[in-house]
Amino acid sequence: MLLLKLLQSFIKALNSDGTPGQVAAGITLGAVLGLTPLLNLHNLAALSLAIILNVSFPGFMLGWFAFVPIGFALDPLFDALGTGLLVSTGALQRMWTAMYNTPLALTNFNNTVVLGSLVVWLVLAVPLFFAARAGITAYRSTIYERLRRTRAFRAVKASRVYNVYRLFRP
Amino acid sequence: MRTRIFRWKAIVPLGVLLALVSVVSYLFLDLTVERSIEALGATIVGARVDLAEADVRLAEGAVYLRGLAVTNPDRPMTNLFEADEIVAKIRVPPLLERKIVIDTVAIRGLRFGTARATSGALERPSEASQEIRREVGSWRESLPLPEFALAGFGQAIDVGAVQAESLATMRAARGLVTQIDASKQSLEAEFATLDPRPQLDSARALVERLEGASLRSLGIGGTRSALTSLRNTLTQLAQLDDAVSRVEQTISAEVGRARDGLDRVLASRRDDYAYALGFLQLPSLEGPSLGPAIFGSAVTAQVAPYLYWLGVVDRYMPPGVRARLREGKDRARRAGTTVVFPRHEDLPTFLLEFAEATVAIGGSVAGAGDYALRFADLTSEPTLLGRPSTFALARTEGVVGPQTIRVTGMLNHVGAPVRDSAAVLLEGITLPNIELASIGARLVPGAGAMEIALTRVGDSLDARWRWTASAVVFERTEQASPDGDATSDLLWRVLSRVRRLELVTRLSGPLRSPRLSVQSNVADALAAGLRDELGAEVARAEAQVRARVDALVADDVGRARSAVTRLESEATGQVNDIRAEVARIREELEGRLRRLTGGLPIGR
Repeated sequence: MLLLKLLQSFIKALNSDGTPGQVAAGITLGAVLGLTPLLNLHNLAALSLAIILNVSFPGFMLGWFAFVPIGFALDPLFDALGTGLLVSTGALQRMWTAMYNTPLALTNFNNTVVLGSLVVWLVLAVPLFFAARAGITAYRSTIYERLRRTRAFRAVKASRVYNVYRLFRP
Repeated sequence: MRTRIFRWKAIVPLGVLLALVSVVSYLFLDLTVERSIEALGATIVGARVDLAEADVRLAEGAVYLRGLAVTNPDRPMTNLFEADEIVAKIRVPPLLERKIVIDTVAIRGLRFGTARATSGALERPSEASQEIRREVGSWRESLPLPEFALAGFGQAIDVGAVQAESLATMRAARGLVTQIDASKQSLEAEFATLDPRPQLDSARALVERLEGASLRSLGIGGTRSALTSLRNTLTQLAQLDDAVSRVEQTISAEVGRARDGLDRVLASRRDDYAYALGFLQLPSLEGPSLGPAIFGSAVTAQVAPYLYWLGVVDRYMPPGVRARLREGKDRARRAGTTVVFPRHEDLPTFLLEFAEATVAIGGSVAGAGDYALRFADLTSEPTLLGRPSTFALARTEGVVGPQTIRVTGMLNHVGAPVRDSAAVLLEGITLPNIELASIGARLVPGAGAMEIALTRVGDSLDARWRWTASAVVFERTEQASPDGDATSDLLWRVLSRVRRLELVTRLSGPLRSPRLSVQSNVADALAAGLRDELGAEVARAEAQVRARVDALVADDVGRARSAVTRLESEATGQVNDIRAEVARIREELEGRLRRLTGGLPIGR
């Protein structure tokens, strides 16, 4: 069932739920949940943004799930980057010290993996948005037209679960 | 159509979601605190920390912890301590900065050394605790504890078991011969470079040429030329003499090195005697050696935890305000490293201002009664607090017997060098049994006293433990041989006369690798008893062993000795020959010179 939902989410996101820009924005916001350790305040902020901003929620879910394995795979890189920023870069020490002694400490920014992954997401967010938007536009104008006529595609789209996602459709 | 940025109709669901998250977080706060204390405690202690229940009352600024059990990392089936209830009055605002500031803590029902139903060992202890444990472990392994074994007594001494290849003297002697061979080659090279023959031959030729020459026979021109040749040759001989002196210095250095080597060879024999005696399982009969041999293993196990806890204190209470690295929280993703950034004008990450625990010592021993254990100013960043942490145990009520239980201590990590001190006096307590595996016995001290005086300044430790008891009992832990064992019987005869115990253990030196010394009246009594009864046999065995060692190394030592003598005589002889030849030729040249100049100092 979960797999079906994911598949449906994927198809909806790519095909019809919102403009390519909305879907790309959803994917970009969702990517932060996948790339960074989940139970952190910035992820609650990302989820809140995905709800309040007029982005594609299926796109958000797609971004989240698609980036989870990437996040796990890149953990050593995040760790190294976070260590570089938090420990090895002397110029940033005053800023980190100031932030640590405020409620910002609740965000876990002082953990190497959290900071490293968040920084990677921040750096990738804009390129990811534009790449996703270009990809979805290209997809819709070429592959989608052929795919929509297949029986499997019609079966997934007709599923009842689709109605749930309509609540969040842009 | 222009796309709207905000999804206004989602404001309410978002509000509901955030409210839900808040409610769920609040509902699970107790559980979160409980799990966090267990995880953090396990990280610091290096063993399981169990908490039955946590009750967080933010409105009251209070946290109630019930059923806390902290495993002793050295004995996983025993708790370091258990507490029935802990009530902490906390400051709420610092929580927003992830800082825990506790004004007061009251601990009720504190008990030490209680048994656990399940093992408290961790499958994967924290890196920090593993590292400290490794350091303490390698210190224990590196301690040179002598063995105590009586198996060699009463048995025919098999001196044939001592093999030549195992003896240091032989290795040193052979090494010395090789070194002397190398020295010889080096000196030969020096002599080859010196090569005095051409100069000596030329000088001899001049001497022969001027044989019978005079001013008249040579004429003025010939005489002037001969005088010049004579002076030049004398100068060359003087230079040759200098060069020979330099070679002589090298010879002297090489011979000196060889003699030192020979001294080392002879000194190695003492080690070989000790080695061979150990091989024959004959113990030293000196009290200072017997102390570590008998008690070393047991007291090391007793004092090692103190080094472990000093390591823990070092790790979690470092001086200064530099950023500190901590292992990240355990999770499915990589834990990473959490960096703590203390700042002078801010609160430390953890501060316990005052804690008091009630401790009851039951039974009818002199130390029975109620006690209050107080901690003050325990913090993760002592420099920020600017005050040392202190602790003390004092008797309160229900006194039975003399007031002789005192514990005071201070951890001053405000700045470098850190200064820790502790003084403990526990009288009228039941001392733990001491397993003496080396003599197959258990020492049951019963009621006694324990004193600890520990001072640590920077990396230097000076700690002393003193156990005393007046009615000790020794129990056999190994079955006696059915056909009787004279030496074992002797051991037990000696031990059965010992009633009093005084055991003093001292650690001194670098914190990571302190020296251990153990003194005890038991070891002294045992040494005296063994000397009385086995002294003659030990002397006979030692004589046989020494003779065997001497015989095995005699040839090699002889070769080394003669190699040194040969090196000295050959090299010195060669130099002396050159010197003598130079002196002889110089004398003849000066004779020729005198004859040509008629004894007048012409042209000199």
